[in-house]
Amino acid sequence: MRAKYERFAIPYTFKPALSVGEAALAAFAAFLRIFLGSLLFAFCGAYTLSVWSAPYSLFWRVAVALGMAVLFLGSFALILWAIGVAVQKLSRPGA
Amino acid sequence: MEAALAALFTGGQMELFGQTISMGSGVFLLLALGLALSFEFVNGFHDTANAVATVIYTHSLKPIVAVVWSGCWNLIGVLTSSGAVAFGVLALLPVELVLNVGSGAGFAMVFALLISAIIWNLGTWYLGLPASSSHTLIGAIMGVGLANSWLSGAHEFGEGINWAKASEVGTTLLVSPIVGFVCAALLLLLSKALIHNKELYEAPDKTKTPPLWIRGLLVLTCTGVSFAHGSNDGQKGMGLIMLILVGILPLTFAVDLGSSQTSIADLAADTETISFQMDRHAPGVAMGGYQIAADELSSYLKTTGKVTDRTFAAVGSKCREISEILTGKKSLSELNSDQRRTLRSDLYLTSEALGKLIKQKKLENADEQKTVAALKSHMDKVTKFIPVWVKVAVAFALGLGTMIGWKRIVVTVGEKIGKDHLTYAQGASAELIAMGTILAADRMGLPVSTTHVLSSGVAGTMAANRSGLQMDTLRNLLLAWVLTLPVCVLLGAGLFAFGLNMLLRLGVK
Repeated sequence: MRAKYERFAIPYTFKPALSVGEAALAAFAAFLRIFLGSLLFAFCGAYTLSVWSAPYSLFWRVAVALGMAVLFLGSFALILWAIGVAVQKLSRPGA
Repeated sequence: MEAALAALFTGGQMELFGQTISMGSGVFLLLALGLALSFEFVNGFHDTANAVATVIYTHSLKPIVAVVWSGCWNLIGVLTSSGAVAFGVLALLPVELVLNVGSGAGFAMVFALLISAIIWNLGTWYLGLPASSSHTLIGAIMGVGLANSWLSGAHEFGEGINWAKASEVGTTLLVSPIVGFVCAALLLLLSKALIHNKELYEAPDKTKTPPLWIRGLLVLTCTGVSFAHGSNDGQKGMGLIMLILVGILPLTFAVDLGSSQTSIADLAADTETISFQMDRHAPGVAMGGYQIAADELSSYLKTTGKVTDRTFAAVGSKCREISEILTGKKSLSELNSDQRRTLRSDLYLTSEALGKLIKQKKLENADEQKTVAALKSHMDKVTKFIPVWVKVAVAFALGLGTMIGWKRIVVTVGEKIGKDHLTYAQGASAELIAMGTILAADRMGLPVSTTHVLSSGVAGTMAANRSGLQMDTLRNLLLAWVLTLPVCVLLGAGLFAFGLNMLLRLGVK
């Protein structure tokens, strides 16, 4: 049974000894998560800021900001899940 | 696809920090911020082991308490830092890219640096190898310098590399493991000779905590190393964030808008005085324009740059230009965007040139050196500032990384270097040497890496204790340390060339 704090570790399936191939795949996947997450944050953030700067009513600006926040979180979760599934498939022998 | 992406840079606009920028610049800014904070986050994974490995493996603190404690002290370290290290990193970058960071080449540089450092740090972290984050970043900087000198016709190949820094990193590779191994081993042998407490030299009992004084010592060194890491290594990403902010939002971040009226008046007067002093070094040499002076100083600041009469004349010319811009101003907010950008470039070039003149002992006497050093420090205050929100963001990223990614490297340091479990005395010896090293490195400018010192320190205590060493781990460690620089140079150079090509295709110049 993993301790509470270990469940937060990245990757959550902690395996202390990785081969070079496994480490390269894991590092690439982690980098993809970071890069795509940052890119998504950049696009959602820039769009939100551009709408916020435009002369719309406060209601629409808040609605767009909240919508973009939900879109960002949803898309980010989807990216993390998709990369996780892809890595699992790639790292499974015979896949 | 290319047309759609290119349209992004000419499309909608947004307002940020009181400045209107294009949608494309906004995307670049937020992407760079996201990557810079991710770099700090991953940096936290790596360097935690320096602080917490020994307290965890000697049961001085529970892992969760140790990493949260270390994360908090890293955070405090970043928040209280001056930012000197952050700007020290920037001094290694090619001058023309630093001055034109808002250009395509400037963006390519920042992204290449961040991505290379993140990739290598992640790779070594997954393998559980405690590699130096500083070496990683320095390697990427050298790679960018190399690619820049190769791609731009105005340079000789290799001119963009700071060879002095490369040699310093080489020295570090030799010095750090020896310092860590020998000093920690000697300290352990000394403690064995002086302190005859059997408990200290046996593997800790899982059910017991160490003697109070040993526990106190280990927690203190863990705190010291965490704080020093935050206030030193932890601020490298801040310099890159500031570079991006200056490039995209010059109106707000090019110069410190909080500078007081007295400070501005003093700077205007001091630069005028120094301009006359510099003219005395180069009688009869005329610069013929501020751009010529800027080019002259840029050439001097290259690693191959030599001091001539024209260098002094250029410094004098730039000082006069700064004085003209600042005279009569009550606040730097009175300057328009172009003036702020020009002022920043002038202050940066002049300050770096003055620093190099002092370092090369090219000034006449002690009085002149003192005046010039004071002016340099005054100039740096105007350009080398870090807003509190940047510090807070970096501190949280680093602290969070420390808390989340600690285990992989800690397992290597605690379990895979020696064949026996770490004793209290071994943990204390290695950690004391690591903390002493950070302090000595800060004060004396010693070229040592804390990561290398701690890992070698643990190995040294294992050897002194005759516990035996796991040679496979040591071989992998040494290989990773040696490979860090060349791999990061290649990554930095490749990504810079790729990024520059992509941005040029998108029409970003």
